[in-house]
Amino acid sequence: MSAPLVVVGASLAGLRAAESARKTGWTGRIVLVGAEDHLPYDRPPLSKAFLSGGPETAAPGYRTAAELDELGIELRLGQPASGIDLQAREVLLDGERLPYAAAVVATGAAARHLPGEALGGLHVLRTLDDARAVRAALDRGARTVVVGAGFIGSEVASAARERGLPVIVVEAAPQPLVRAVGEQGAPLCAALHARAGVDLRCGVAVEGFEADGGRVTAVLLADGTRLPAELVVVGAGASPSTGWLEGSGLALDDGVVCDATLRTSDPHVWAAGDVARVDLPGHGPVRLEHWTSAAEQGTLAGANAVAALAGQPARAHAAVPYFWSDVYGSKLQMVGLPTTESELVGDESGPWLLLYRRDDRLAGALSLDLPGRIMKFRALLARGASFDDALALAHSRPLVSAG
Amino acid sequence: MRIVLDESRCSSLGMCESVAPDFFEVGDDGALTVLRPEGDESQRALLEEAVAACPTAALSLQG
Repeated sequence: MSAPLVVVGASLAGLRAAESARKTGWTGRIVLVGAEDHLPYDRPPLSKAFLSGGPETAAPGYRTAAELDELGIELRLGQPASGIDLQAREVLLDGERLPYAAAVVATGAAARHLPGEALGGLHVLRTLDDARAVRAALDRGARTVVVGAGFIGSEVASAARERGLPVIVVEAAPQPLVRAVGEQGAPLCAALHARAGVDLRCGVAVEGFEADGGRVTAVLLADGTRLPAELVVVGAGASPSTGWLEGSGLALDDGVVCDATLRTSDPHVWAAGDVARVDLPGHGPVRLEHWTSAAEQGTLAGANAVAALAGQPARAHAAVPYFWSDVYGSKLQMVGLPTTESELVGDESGPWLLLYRRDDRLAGALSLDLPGRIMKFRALLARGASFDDALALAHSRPLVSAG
Repeated sequence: MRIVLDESRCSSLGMCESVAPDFFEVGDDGALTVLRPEGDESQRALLEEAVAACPTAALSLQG
């Protein structure tokens, strides 16, 4: 009897890898290891519906314990992996070595904290536990300061605004989201805060906090401003959770390095999701923190791990990146990847479509309130369409807002 | 098999349209239209992929 397939990381990518392995014919054991003490659950709602006023929505789960049991997926929850022994082919848990026939690394990413001590009311937002704490503070009517005007920060600000709570967003960079949406997209996204009546302050860093009895009472900015707050949510990005792999011999570079088939530097180890730096055909190594990438990569890594063990070829990841963000009643959607050359179709006040080009090809597209149009551009990207074709499609009909 | 849409879960993210444009389309008003409510066995894999691709689990298949 062979060793089990071991999936390390029990969120979306890990769960999909485990399910995919079973679905593509693995008849052996599958062990799903997770650091958090929860059944795999969905993260996007944690900064959206979960923070809304009204009765608390249930924790957004995927499969029940019974469903996972039926698939023969064994759970090791609340048991963070501490290492991997590539020679022995074992995953190291606390005081235990778990042999594997193949392993999938899907340990995701951890939210970055600001330097300084932990304080009550000062939170990052990544886990269910974080979300419960943030929600409770919003329920108490906390004056809120959001540090970082990225997507998480903006969604938290949106939740506070929706409840009629005072909220200020502080962003250290001169403009938010430049890496995510490019130089032309950044002011278009920044404008959404002002449109919703939310105070966005750019180009100013947080210097420290005031606290009383271990709870935050104000945010101190580098320009001397003092912002009273009972809730401070830090949305300063996330770092891939690869600390447990340091020294293992696995190639790491802001994530686990893998080829287009999601195979890592070790032939028996695969990676998927927020932790994976994937050599995407036509793009080079990219680490995506998108829900769809975690789902697609998890599914592919599980299937490829099984195929490889059976001596069959592994498939390359081909899906076009896609993510969305819901802020202030509007929907931002991006397909493909941003580049430094872009062209705006529509008016800044929305709806609008921002097309990104690389040479004469379409590289990506970002839209505001155009859910009926954006997926046509994902199709163009999938077939390597020209930028001119994309422009023609964009102009083929008037842009009608779904906002 | 029949496509079942839970409209309370649908937020028009459009992954279903992206996977299976013959079956799903998000309109300009943001509402999802299921273009063809039934699929045959040869389309099962495609429809299962569309169901799995929905980030809000708004789709399921019956039969």
